[in-house]
Amino acid sequence: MVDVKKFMDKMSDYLDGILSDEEKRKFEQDLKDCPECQKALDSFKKLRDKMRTSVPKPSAEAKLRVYEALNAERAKRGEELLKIPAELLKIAKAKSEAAVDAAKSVAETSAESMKEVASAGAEMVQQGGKGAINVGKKAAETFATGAKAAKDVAVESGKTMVETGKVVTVESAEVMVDSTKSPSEAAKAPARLAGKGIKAGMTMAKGAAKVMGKGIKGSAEVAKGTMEVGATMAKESAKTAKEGVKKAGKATKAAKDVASSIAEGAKKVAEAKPEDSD
Amino acid sequence: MVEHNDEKAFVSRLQKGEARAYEELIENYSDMVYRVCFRILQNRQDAEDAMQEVFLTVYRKIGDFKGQSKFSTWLYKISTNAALSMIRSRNRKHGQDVSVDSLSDEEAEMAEAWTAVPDDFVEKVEAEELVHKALEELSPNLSAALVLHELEGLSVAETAEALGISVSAAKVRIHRARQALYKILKEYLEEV
Repeated sequence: MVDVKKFMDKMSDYLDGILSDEEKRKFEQDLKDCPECQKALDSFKKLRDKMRTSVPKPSAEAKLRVYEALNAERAKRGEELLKIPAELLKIAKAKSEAAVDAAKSVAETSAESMKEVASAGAEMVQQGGKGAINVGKKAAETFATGAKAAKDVAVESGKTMVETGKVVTVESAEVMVDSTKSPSEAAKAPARLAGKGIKAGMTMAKGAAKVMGKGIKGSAEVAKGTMEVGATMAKESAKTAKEGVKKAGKATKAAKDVASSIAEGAKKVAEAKPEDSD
Repeated sequence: MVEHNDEKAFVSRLQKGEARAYEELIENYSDMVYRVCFRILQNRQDAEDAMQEVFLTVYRKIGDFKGQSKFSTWLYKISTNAALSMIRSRNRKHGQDVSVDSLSDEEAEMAEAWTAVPDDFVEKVEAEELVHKALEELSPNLSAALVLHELEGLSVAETAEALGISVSAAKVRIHRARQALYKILKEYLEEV
């Protein structure tokens, strides 16, 4: 009768090919005498083969980041930079372009939202009366919040351009300087940069996400302010309150439109792939 | 991977900082590095971060490689260390201790269990889910031993070197990893 525990101890060494000839001969004899032991050995080998076939691979973006990280180190030591494979650059370009488009779309939607809220506030001020004066104060505050949110988005976009500029190689500095001059130059920057450095594209994509985050925060604050305006109006006058609720509804829709735009933009960035013709 | 005969020349080019050599390094070894990191960490983002760290370490420390072992073994060592280091730092954040080999002495039971494997045991299991479950539940040091020896095919001696332990300690870890693997898989099959 084969001692299963001793058999298992030897199975490891057998599989590793480190049994002596004598031990190997004995082990194989035990296998013949013990069908269960043969089964255990076969199961383990099959399991190991199956585990070996499950092979995860790194994403193109991950490899891209390796090139960028090494190039950043090499640049510090004044060494020649690594040449990045064309297919990885194409992916970075596609992602950067998608990120900038997404940020533009969000900015446009936010601008529309701000207009809606501003006009809602202005109309409420025109209602007149004590209630309107109190409402008007709140509406003005809300409008100011919306204006600040839009400004925050613009400032964050600017910061992104500057941050992106810091990590780009010297030959790309010109592109970064141009991009801080105007939104249209900023929109062109990723495509110009993608041919020169990947990290710029990645930073741009990160920056676009932050910009979107500011957009979300700003819209939420505006929606909240508008709701508070509506609540204030309800206290002052039933008719004005009705109007206020309508206006608040418009602002809420505006905020939802911004949120949808952001979600769509994020999806486009995630799915961005190089064009076949690239 | 680079053939052994060319290995000395390749390492020399890396040590001189030759850009083309580093491009070859990434193209030829990124799959292996990522595979080891991912199998130990079982998380895509962490594995990608660890992979980046591995190549930076090679760049910074290539001068320390004296050629006493294969370059690939050295790279396996750096990859394993990067992954285990990330687990330690991840566990520190969550206030967990990473014990070395937290395996109770159930070897007799496990030995019996291996002989009672159902005929369709392996066919039932989806490879990826199986690997993920098993490697997630093994302690980091056992999963590293399993990944290097069983999945990457390193010899016991190479596994020992990559883990920075003696050959006898590596044998023990490999053996215990196989035993623990079966226990985990048996439980998995009972759930399925």
